[in-house]
Amino acid sequence: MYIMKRLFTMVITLWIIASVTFVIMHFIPGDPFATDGKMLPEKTVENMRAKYNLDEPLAVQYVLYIKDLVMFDLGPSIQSKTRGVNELVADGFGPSAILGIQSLVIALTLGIMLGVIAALYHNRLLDYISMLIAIIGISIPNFILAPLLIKFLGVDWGLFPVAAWGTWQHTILPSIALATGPLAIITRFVRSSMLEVLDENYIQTAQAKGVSTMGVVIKHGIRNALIPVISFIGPLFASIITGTFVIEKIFAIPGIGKYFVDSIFNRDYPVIMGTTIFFSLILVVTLFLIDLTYRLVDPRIKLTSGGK
Amino acid sequence: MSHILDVDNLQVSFTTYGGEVQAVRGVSFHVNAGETLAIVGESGSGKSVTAQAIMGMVSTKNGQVKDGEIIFKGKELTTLPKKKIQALRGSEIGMIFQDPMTSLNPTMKIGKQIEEGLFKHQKISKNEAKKKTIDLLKLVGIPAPERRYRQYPHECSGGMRQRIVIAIALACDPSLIIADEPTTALDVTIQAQILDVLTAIQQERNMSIVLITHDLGVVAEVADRVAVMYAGVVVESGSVDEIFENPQHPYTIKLLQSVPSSELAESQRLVPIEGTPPDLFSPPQGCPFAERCPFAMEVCVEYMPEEQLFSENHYAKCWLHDPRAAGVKEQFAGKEEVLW
Repeated sequence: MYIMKRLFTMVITLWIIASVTFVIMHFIPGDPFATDGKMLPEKTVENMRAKYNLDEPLAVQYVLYIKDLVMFDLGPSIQSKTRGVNELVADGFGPSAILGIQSLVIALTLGIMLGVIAALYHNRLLDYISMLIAIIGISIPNFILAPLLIKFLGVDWGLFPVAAWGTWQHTILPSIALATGPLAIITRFVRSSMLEVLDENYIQTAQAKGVSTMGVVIKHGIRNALIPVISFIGPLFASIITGTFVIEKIFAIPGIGKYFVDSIFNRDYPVIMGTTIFFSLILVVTLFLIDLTYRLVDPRIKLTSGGK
Repeated sequence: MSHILDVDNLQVSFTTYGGEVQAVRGVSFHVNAGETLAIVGESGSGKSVTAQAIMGMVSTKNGQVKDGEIIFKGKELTTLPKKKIQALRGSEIGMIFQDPMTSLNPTMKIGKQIEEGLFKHQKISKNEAKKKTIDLLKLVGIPAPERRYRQYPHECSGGMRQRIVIAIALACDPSLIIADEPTTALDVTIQAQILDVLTAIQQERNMSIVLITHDLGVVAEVADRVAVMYAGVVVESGSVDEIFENPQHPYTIKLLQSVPSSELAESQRLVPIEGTPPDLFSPPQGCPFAERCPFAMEVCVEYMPEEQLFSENHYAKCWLHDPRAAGVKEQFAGKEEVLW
């Protein structure tokens, strides 16, 4: 019942996002053919506009688009003559997802570790070191970190390929660059959450049982400390997995982020719509999964479908 | 009777931003096998810190045992390495905490929380542990123990949870239980039930209990002996009868007067103790109660009084009972009716 209700609201959410994006998109001045520097014969432009239904009134275009969308057809791309938006998203999503998942794994494992260590050694050297790493991670934007990684790890020491997409080695540098920001944020989150948990009475109870310090932290501390962190991981996961334009550009990765940005400059309406809706879909699904995870991690949370 | 626990001149301090707090300033007492010692005192008198020191748990909160000895079954605990203390905790000494609503891990099943101590201290199979856990739940009076075993703390009431906390403390059959205000957070009917459970198990297993409380009603009900703490010092100690019938330290007297009882005449008023306890950042060099004491003499402010013995077990730290103060005591003799 709960799941049915959630699925229904997810569809509604996506529909609202699609509609709002559609309207806003058409408010942007210019259209796909106006930006072209070359002068095309008037008749050609007219034919092209007709091909993409751009000659119809906006309301009709909207209905036509939603109709296709319901059939999971994101339409043709205006820029790419050979591939539709479905193929663009499907092709681009692979690399972006691999990068996203890898960097999320890096950010989570290291972030949780550093956060826990910082909390355990509160106001001592290891805490300061962890916090220093966190502050550096937050302050250095990844478009600066990425060239540095390329220069040192890629060019000078030759450990990893400098750019492009191919083997697993190609994914390492971009994954690291993508992971630092989230890593720093997770570290800070986990630290403060863990500090709070370590002050709880049940930690004393565990100590009084004779459980070792490590045992207390692992069995009683981390799980409780992660509960508030989970809510933050949802949107982070969605944004990281759908690609970041900057990192993909720097490392020349054929991910989805590129289409996201290019399509806006080109007024490639179907691609704008497609990537936005795809991003929203990922976000909505992750948030749903996060809510299910909550139930697993915190038994006090019950998922109910009504405001009983 | 043999002493199971001997605390001698225990001193504990905490380092805070404001400076060093001398929470416990030379506490001595002993616990006999099978008896209940109540440590009584108001908030901040150092009774909980004393308990934590026995458990070796003051260091987790920037605390430090400055001086003194804690001898449990012949072993000196304050100098014991961490591993050995951990081996004692939960197996030989169990602890019951004040607030059952927060002393259980909210994300761990009840059965698992009780078993944890068993697995830690005993070589025991999963099935044996489960059986033992269910027996423990029965022992502390929890109905449907099999069902509770699989539940989480939030599915239980406060009284139930305190029973579970007791079951955790009892898991490895310890010879000493330290109960830090075990009934304070519970309502009165539940309080009585919890105390009954504790005393029944104590008799069955010949356990010693150190009961920390500020509730004199609880003390009268379950304690064999009492130590009254004030500002980090034990000011009077004796059997429960001696303390209630024949209190000698002015603080104890005042404390007893401030407790309502059904025997009080309607016209009789409860007498609050005027003033506040001393600041433990810079504790007084003399008797800590001097400032609030109606009998205070000059010597009280200057020097910490020695123990004055009234019987084998009963002593008070008060200058008034020093032979040299006999004259002063005479002066107050007339007022004893009112104040004593």
